[in-house]
Amino acid sequence: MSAPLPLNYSTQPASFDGLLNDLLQQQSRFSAVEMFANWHDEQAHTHELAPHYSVLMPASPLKAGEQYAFEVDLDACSGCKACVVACHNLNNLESDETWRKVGCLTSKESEIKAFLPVAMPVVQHVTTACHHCVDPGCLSGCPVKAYEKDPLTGIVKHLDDQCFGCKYCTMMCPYEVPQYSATLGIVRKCDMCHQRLANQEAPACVQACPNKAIRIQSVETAVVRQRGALIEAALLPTAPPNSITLPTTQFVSKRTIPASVVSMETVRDEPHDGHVPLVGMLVLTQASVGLWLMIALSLAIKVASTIELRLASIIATSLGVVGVHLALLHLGRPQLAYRAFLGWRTSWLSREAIAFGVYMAAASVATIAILFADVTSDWLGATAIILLTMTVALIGIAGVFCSAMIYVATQRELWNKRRTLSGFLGTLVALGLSLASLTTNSDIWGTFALLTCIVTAATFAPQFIDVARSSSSSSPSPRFGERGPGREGLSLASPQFPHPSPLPRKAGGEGANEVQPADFSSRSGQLITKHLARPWYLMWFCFLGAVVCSGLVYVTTGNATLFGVLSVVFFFASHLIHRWIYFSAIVTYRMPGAST
Amino acid sequence: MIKNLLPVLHQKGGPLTEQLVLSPQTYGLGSLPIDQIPDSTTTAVCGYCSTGCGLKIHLKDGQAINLTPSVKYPVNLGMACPKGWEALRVLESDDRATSPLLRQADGSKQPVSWQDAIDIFCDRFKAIQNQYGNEAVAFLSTGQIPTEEMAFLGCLAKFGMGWKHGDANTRQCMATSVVAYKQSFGFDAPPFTYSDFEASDTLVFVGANPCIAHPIMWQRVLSNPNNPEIIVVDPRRTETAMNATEHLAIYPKSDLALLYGLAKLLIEMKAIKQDYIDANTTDFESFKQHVQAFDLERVAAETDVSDEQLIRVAKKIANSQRVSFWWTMGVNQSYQAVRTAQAIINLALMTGNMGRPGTGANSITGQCNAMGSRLFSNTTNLFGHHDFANPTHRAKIADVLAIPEGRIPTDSGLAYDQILSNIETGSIRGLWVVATNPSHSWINSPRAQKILAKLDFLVVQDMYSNTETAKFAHLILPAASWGEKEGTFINSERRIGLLKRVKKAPGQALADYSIFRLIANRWGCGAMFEKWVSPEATFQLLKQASRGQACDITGIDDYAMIDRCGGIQWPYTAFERSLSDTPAQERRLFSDGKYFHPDQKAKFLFVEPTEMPELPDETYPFILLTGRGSVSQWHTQSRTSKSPILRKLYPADPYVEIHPDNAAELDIEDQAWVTIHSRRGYAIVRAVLTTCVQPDQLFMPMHDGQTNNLTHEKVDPFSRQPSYKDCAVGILPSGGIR
Repeated sequence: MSAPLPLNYSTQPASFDGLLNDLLQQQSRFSAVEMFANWHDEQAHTHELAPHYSVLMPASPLKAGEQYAFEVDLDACSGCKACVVACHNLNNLESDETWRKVGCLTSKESEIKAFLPVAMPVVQHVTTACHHCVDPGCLSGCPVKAYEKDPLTGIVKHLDDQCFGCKYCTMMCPYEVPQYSATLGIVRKCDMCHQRLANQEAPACVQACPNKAIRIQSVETAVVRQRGALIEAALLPTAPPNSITLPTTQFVSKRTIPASVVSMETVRDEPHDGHVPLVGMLVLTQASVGLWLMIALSLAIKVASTIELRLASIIATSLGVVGVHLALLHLGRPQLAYRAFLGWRTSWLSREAIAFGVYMAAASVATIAILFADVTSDWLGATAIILLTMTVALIGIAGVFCSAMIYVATQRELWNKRRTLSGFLGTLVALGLSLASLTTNSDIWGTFALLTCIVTAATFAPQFIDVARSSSSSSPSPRFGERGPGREGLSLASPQFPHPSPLPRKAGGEGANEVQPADFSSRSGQLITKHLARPWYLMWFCFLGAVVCSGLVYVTTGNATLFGVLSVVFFFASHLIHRWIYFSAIVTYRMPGAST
Repeated sequence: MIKNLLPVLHQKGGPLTEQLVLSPQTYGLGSLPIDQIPDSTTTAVCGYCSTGCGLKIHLKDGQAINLTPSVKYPVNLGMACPKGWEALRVLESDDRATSPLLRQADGSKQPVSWQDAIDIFCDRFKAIQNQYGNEAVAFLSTGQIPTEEMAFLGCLAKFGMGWKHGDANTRQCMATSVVAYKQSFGFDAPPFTYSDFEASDTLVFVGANPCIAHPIMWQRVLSNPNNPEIIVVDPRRTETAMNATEHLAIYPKSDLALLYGLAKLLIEMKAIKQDYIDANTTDFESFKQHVQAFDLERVAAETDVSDEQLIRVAKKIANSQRVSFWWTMGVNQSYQAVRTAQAIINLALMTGNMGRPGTGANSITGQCNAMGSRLFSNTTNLFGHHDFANPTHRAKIADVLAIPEGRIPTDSGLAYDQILSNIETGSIRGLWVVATNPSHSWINSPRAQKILAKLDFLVVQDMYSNTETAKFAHLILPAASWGEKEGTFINSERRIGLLKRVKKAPGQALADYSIFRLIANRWGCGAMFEKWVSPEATFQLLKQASRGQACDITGIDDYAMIDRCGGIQWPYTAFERSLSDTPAQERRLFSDGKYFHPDQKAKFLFVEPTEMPELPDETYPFILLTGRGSVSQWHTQSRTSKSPILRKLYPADPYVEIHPDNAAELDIEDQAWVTIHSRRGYAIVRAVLTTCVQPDQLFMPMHDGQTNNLTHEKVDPFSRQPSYKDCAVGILPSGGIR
């Protein structure tokens, strides 16, 4: 070790310029090194903080059937958020990237004073990160197998170089843990600092908490499964049900926290990303499949002559081609799209990719057959083409089914099977009919147009009901279990929170101004009214335009083609907007702090 | 073939994975990102709050690349709050001042050379002094720069340039504690050390929310092994109140009545230590008389606290062996602040809770170097906590600094509020603002802004060129920041800590110390500051000035010794130094019961509580409370808003907290924009509904520039500290005026 250099401060120079030069020069030097730096000659220290966190690490190695999990002592979490910044700093994350979040639960209703055992209001900060679930949604949803659950530690790791940035895991994780980075084109997430754990060091957040609120513990996966078996159980008030992914984090407290608390950050529902490329992809592929279905049906019921087969097949296949390629725009790293099939065992996104791959191949064959073979010349040819087009349509429907299941699998109430499947199939039928009408003669046109209108209206109905319900209920807000099982207040000492049923409360009974538990439907309706009013009315305007144009085709035979095309355009526009609202107006459970 | 394809199909490693690879643990720092391995480290004390955490700066080629909280520093034991973790980040900002800027005729600001800037500085101020006299100029300093720099500023302005008036933003945070301690103890001497948090069996927090304002002190509270009673006095249900065993949710500004009521109860419970009172204090009997008027009924009515809770709290204090009392801005920022702080001091004195581990009447300081300012800024006190009016003191300081005694003024000059008033009346025409932001932070800011706009010459010396105050400046002097210069801070527990130069300052920015040297040279008083060649040289002068004072630090050799000892608490005398190489790391005052008044006794001081100066009425039916919003925000946000991560940790929009009952009455929805208005101005903010504020009270964080549009101009008569937390406001549903 060399002796520290003396700081070469000048004595007072007489001239101003001499002094200024001295001072500017001094400013560019580092006194710390010259005077004080602790040079480290030896490399082999232990981590200085180890005594602080040794009590926060599992006492014994993992046994079979166990995995690592975070445990958060809510009584010690005072909201300083050092964990968030330490994680950011010690993991070299991007400038505004955070893997840990801190939310704040607070009471919004004064009457809780009246009937709760603890009469004081609540302000409870909550630190959360990845819950390293037993059944991670991110992993099962990933189409490229970019997630691994470590067989020994249970840590859910993201393989950054494998990821192609489809963001599906950000939908599949009910806790909004994976974060997409537009600069990197991939998502990243908490890996429980597995590299540190491997060195017997605590994760950054555990190291940095001044109050030792975060620890790593071993949990039995069987116990986590039991917790998840209760449909009502959730990690915290406002959080999603445990049953979706079986999260391993435990929040513990000696206090009593009323169930009516809300998360400060998510008190107001805000629109989500509308996923424009996905909207285009979904609606165009569904229109494509719909038109193939119409082609197949019209051939089967021998009305082939009424459809201009060649034009229809070209349109149907082109829509498919455009639609499928639009999906690439959604990817952060589209050059890796070829990996999309890898997750087919668990991921509906992989299955969709495979289904539409096969569908495009089949549709191309069918189109070529229709264009170049005289398909109606004999019985054999006619039967073959019926079978071929039927096959195309069925594969396409399978693809659309996969599309729907992608969202159903997220287990969000407003994206449930009934809503999503009926919505997607509605678009399929409506736009199929609408396009088919363009290529038919006018004899059955009226029937097609009328059907299109009816199916479209039916497709939009659930959103309409949401909006109608929101205007009839008084200011719904994301309240948790107001009339659910936890009404009397919950002791956090029992680590799991009863969860309200997502079903609306039975009508009548308890008083008119009570808000129904977790009423996502009317909250979504209110979100549409408040934030998405313009697209909402534009959607209905397009629908109206389509209806009017359809009617005009009927009465003004001269401009039938123009109005026919216009009606198709209007129908397409309305369905595109509808799908955009489907994504934007989603309301679901949110972990405290999830929006930050 | 398949083996070749496999990595393409399933790529487990690669450039993205490598971004997050950690090194094995090195240098005792634990694993670090692979491209951030330091080649050396050094510890510097943090530059935000008065906790004074040690930050271990990771250096590569001499320059800071990252930091982690220092594990061995006795203050923070390896922990830091988000501001500390991000201390280096905020230095890198496009808003940094990189060269002197001069306001042009068209209002724009253009870069000028340092030569020109200092010429203009000296010429303009001299011209004002020549025309209007030395009373026509003033400076506003700060608690954010090292002691050596604030000492230089105070001595340069008052002794070198002949200025009469100078004050600092410490007027807004600690003036009350200064006066309270001076009057009660005979010296501005916060008696505690942080281990007192851990040694108490009862902790009483009055107007303090350490969970949010001083999280690393809260760390100490939670590591108290005695399962202590935590009594919190605060109108709001704060995070700290959440953790209390007793939360006294008093009516705003009823703290004085509460504390007198508790005193009366304690006397009645015979929980006072008469021996201690007799031996070490004066005026207890008249205090006892005074509190007789504060019977339970009255106190319960004035504070909104139930009889039962008052008695319960008094009993808890009475039954505890080691009670520590802590206060912060809820007490200091009041129109009757000094007497309120002294009511707390009185409780500690009468129960004998002084001088022993886990006791004390303890003011938690605000800014990182408010404590340095209190001793050495040469504003209210003469350099080294002396008295301008005292000829012996003037002679001593003249001798220490080797300047003619006649250069030392015989009074302390005007306080902050008086300086502003004098600008308003035109008797002060030139102002020099260093590292503070009055346009945002001073009470009733619409008036403050009009006043700043009125100046003939305003110089703002700051690390950022676009603070709210810099907008009014005629001349901006670019300052190097924390991390770009050295010096010492003094923390809440009187610990002197070092800061170090670990980054290059951007452009032409210079340490404030260097700027003062340039001004001294050009002003023509360079000879007076012959010895002021480096912060460390100045530190030697501070030592000499402290000799014989309660804050005697003559035992500290130099910066290296401070570094080696993990900071050193004052006092540390040359005599103590002669006994050992290293002072004990945690020391408290008054263990001998001897105070700093000539009779060595502490004084009981008290007053009859008065009404809030601006009571709610029909037009302004709410009481507005203000305070810190989150851990990641600091004061006027000129620094903390520069970190993307810190920005993420507080709400993006300004907000007001309102009770749901009031919101329902006014039909205000959660998160709706509303207009808050007072007799001074208005603010447009989002409504946050929470039962943590009481009905008819609102809370707004101080960090938004609009908050002080509303606050009421009223100062404590002794400390002249503004009363930020009690103005009457109204609320209009919808951000109508926006």
